[in-house]
Amino acid sequence: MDPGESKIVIVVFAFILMMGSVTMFIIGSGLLGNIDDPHKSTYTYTFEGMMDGAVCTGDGRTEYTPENVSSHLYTMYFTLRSSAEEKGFKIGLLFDSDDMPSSSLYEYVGETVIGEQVAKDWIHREKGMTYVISVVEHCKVLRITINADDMDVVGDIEG
Amino acid sequence: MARMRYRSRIRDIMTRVRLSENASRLTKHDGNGMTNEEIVKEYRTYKFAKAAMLVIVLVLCLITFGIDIGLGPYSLSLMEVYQAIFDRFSDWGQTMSTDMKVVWDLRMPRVLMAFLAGLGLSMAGAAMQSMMKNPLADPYTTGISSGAALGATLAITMGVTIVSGTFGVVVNAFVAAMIPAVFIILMSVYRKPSPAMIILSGISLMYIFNALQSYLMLTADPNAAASVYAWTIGSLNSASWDNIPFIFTVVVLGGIMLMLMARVLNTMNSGDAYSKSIGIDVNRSRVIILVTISLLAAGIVSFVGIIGFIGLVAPHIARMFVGSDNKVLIPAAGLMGAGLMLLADCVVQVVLPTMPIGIITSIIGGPIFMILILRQKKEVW
Amino acid sequence: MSICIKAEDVGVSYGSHKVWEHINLEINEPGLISILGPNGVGKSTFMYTINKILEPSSGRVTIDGRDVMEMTFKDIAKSIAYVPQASGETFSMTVMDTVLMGRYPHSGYTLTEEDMMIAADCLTMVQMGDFAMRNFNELSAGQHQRVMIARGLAQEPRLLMLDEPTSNLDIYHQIRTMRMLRDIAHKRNITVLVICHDLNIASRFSDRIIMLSKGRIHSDGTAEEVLTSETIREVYNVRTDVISVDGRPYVLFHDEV
Repeated sequence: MDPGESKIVIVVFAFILMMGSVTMFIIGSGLLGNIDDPHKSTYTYTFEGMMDGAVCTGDGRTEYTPENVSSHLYTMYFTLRSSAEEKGFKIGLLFDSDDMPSSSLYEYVGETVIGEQVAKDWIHREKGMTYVISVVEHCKVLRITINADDMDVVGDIEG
Repeated sequence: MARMRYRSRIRDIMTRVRLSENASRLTKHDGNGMTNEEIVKEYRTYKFAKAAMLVIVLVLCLITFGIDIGLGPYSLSLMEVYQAIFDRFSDWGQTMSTDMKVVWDLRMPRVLMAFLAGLGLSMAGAAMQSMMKNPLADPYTTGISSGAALGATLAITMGVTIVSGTFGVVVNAFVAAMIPAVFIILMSVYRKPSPAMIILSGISLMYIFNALQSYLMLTADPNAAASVYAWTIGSLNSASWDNIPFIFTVVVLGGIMLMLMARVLNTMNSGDAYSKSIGIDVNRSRVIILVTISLLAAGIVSFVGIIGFIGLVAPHIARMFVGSDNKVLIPAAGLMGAGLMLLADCVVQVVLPTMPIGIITSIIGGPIFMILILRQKKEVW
Repeated sequence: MSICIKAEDVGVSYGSHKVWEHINLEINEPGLISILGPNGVGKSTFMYTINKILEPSSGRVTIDGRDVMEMTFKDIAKSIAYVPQASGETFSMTVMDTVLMGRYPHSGYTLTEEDMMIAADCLTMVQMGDFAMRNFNELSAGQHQRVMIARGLAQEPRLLMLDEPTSNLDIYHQIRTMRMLRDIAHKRNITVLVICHDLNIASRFSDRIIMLSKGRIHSDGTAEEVLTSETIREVYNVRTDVISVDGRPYVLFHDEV
């Protein structure tokens, strides 16, 4: 086998190996795409409360932004508007694989009844803010209560 | 593509510099223009240049590390990431903020895992290519990675392990990885097959093991299709601080062992007879090297699944820059592989964070490999 | 300083195929020794028994009185160096790194100044000093050969064995290599053992010739003693005339076998 031919054989080999992986990927995506994971839902929220001494309202949403398979990570974006100003916020909500808020960040403080559901309340403090999230199954946050020096707001889930 | 041209340009310049240095001496016929001291001095400079190259690759690797850690589905700017890391270090015992926890507990293991897996697989690949004089050899193409995956699967899905306890999975993986490894040694020693045969048999073993592994996983849990798929392609999603120390130990120990065997690998190129004549026990050395490679593959595959092409491509690229001296090639290939894995992870994070990294290493590594082969001047087979 | 190798009633076989039987040989003086013999007689095998690459199936080989079977490969390597036949295989290492391979029996993991000076010295001795930093795979066949010899010398051996060092070289390089090997043997006071094919080249440069034939030593002595028409006819089955040139036998062959 002359060098030119042998190189082509190797290239074909490599191509076959590559295609093997790509095929697996396509099949796998097909299989996985059919499973609807409730953890992946996006929720929207309405906010009201006080910001810098003024009454404010706002809206927000949570997005599923997982960094790894053994935890569920969400990012909550919300905007608060008062007569004086408008501010955007971003909070991370980290849950363990058992759908409980991360044990090293959150502390269980009790239950709240919201509508017809019983939600568990968890508290977390960071960056001068204290917030309590009221959670039901699949990491769904029904309500978030945020307290800080210059802010007191409550966000409730829409719908 | 631009990267390749840039590199060949550097190589051209280096060749020209080297040749011009020697041109003046080539005019003398007896070949002895330099004194012994001058030779030693030039050699020292050369060694220093090689070490400098290693440092450069390390720096590139660290830069890629720094970029990769800034990437992920959870939106953080690069500054916020570094701030989180810095804050973490400044007070180890504090309660972490969410950002800190995400960066430190979720992201850092992923990036470290990429680094370590790339390092281990590439060093193993470099050693295999040197030992077998086969440019296509690496744990993936010789079936060793697939053997390891099968062993790990036996442990995970059926609980069949050789030793019980925390090391059950990895010991299984190691023992199963040795099956293709032993097969290769026996083939090489008794049949002296061409490089083609070794790869063909390796790939056949790979497909057989993969099929068995998939069957086991699906029988155990028909809903485990997702896991099977992630395993076969290779994914960093299961990285955590629980398993990082273990991989770290395996890669560091394996790497050190391969470095110690570097001189032996160099002499094996000149044949068994020569190696024996300078005092090397060739058979024992081969066994040690293959056991080390199996251990590296087993340790990495048990956590990351089967990742292809890194162990194949990184040594080739490293060889273009540092030559075949294994004392330099093995660490250079390792760092190159770590850099490639980090780069692949960057791509994953930017394109589709839930995608297993193996698909990117295939899509990027495959063509790079093909180009490297096509550009070789000598016969490869 | 010179090594003393004794083969006592040595026999070597590959499996059931007996290559050598009842070899008795003593090498105890420095100089260039050529091993001659027909193809397939087992010249390389003969060399392999001296440094234990092949173990004797009968009899024993001793180095300075010690049986090789009791010595480790590394021990043997400190006294005996082997230069394999040119294989055409090249590697992408510098010449200096290649020669430094030969320091393995003596050096630890890191190379010392001494190791490097010895390697440089060996390169100078084969007149390849200027090529020290060149890449091995850029050299010509003749240059490869000289680097391999330097690599063998880097072991600081008292016996240097070369397997057909001249078979792929042109006449200029053949003569140059043999002259260099003879000079090395005399200057360094070591024994150089060479497997050779060319009778006249061997005649011109060797201090001693060992002629092998049919599984035993046919003749052993100076060129004059060994290279006679009768010997050549017995061993090679060709008709020749042998004349004397500058005190050494010169073999003239006829156009028939």
